[in-house]
Amino acid sequence: MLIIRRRLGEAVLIGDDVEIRVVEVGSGRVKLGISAPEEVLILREEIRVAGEQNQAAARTATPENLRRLLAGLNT
Amino acid sequence: MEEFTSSQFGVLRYDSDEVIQTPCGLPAFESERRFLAIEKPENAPIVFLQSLQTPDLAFLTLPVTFLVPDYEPNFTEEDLEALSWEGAEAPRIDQDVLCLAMVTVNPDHGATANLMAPLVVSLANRRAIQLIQAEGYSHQHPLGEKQKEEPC
Repeated sequence: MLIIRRRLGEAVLIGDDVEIRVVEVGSGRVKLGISAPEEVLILREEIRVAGEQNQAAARTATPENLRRLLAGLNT
Repeated sequence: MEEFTSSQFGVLRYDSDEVIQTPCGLPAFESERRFLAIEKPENAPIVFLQSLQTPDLAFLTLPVTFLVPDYEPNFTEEDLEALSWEGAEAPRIDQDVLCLAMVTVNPDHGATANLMAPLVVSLANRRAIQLIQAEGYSHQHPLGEKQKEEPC
């Protein structure tokens, strides 16, 4: 991972098309402005984690797992 | 009364005001907009969330308070807007909103519940969002250990 320090107002350029600028700096938080072509997906990390977890959960809803889950919860 | 044929539960009959609407979909299921919550006494406390668009899409969920009685959800302005929340204070679990954690059964981790991103359903209008909280709760909270203290 490349670690770069930026001050308020400064930016990082990625490839030819992506720009990330520090728009606001607060205590423990940073506001970032991101410019990228429409087809580039921009996601908060935790949204991707939630999406992966949802996909795993969707595969889980079987009668077999329901039985296992009920047994586990009631012991 | 409306009808929908699901893979797991066969034909479901429901009133339109029972439908849970997810105007923003769910992460990885962005086009899913309508769900039904199915609770059967023999399966308590598990709540099934059945898609009303995709017959074989369903989730096993557990109320977050069943796992963590003092669960504290953190709502942003955007979250409250998506729920069309009009109260002056934050919604309270079980009084204003239902908070359900999706369960995953995985060969490596056993059964876990996603407490990091619960499904929050407004009891006033049945709108729902998946509330994503960056910190505080695990997306793979282990099940079968609800007596244990939540670490850190």
